[in-house]
Amino acid sequence: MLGKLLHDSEDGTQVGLPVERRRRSHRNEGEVDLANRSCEVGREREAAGPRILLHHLGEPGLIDRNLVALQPFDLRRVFVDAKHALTGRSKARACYEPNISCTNDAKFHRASIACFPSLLLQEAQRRVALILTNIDHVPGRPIVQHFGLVQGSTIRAKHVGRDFAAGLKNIVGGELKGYTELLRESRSQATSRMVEQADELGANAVINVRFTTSSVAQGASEILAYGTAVLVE
Amino acid sequence: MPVEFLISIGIPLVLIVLGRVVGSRIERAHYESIIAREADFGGRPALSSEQLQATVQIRSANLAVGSVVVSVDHFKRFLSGFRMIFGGEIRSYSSLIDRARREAVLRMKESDPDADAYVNTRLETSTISSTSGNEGAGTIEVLAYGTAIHYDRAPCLASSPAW
Repeated sequence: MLGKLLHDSEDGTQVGLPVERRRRSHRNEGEVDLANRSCEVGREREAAGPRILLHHLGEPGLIDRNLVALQPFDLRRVFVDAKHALTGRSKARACYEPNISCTNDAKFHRASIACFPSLLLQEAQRRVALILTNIDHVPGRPIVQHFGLVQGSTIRAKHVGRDFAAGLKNIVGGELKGYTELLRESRSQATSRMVEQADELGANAVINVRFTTSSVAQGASEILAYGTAVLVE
Repeated sequence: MPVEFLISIGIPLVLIVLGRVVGSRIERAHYESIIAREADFGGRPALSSEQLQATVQIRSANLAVGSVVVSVDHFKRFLSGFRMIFGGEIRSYSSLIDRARREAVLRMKESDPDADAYVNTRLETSTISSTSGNEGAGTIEVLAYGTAIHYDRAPCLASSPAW
């Protein structure tokens, strides 16, 4: 059963990878992405700080190409070294290379997730104008015109982090909030796509709305919402 | 060799005990909250019929949706493994699905708490595909959706069941 846990997270990584890799084509180490990223974020902040100055003070030999034996002597005349360090800061050196790498990519990835709820909110607000029912009429308002079937669907993959949390939650049972949230978001997106379609047809209500869920691949499921677009009084 | 044996037996045993202790506590707390919330919605039933035989005018209707994803704990999974050998009802799973359904219906009601009745309620259960093997069969999603009806004035319904 521990094996299952480990297995869970492994597969989760595989599901997540295509998304991550697309954004960092200039690196090959896709397999260690997740572990790497946390380090990279930290490294960005170290750049050009006082620590680099200290670093240069500590290794004057590399700048001056002096013998290692002379280093203590150099360190004693600190003001000479300080000058070197200042010029050295604008030089491209080996220790700068980690800062050029993909921290930004990781940030973009997070930003796109962060702005998602507001997107859903906008969709929900636009939807208010239409009436949705899952019975075959709108109570109290006779149907004037039928426009036929409208549908909206979305296929959603699991999130690596959520998948891992779900694996842990599997031990004690109960609700898996991450998945509930994921499926709720997907369903509201499918619904808003259906509503958009109805809106384009000129309908002001969708009746007989139905939801279905089917899993299309390991770790991905399709959510479909469909109904009949009508014009009511 | 004995150490490996101890680990291979011990870890699942710890997980099962943990599942038993924490899982049953979670279940009890969940049932308490379900019963309390169902009492709140006592006068506003969720009906599976399309038509509502009410003498009052209906002001508006819109869609109400609620869903929940639940999974069984390791202890119940372990028990069901035994049950699979002999056949018969798996009670440990029944309580899970019962909880999930009632929770989903409650969430549907809570998505439109001011409604007077919920008609044409549909319940859908789907298995969440797991990342590994058949053990994930214990994870299900229950979706409840229906049409929330608002009356023009308070209805005169007879006393109705909780949901």
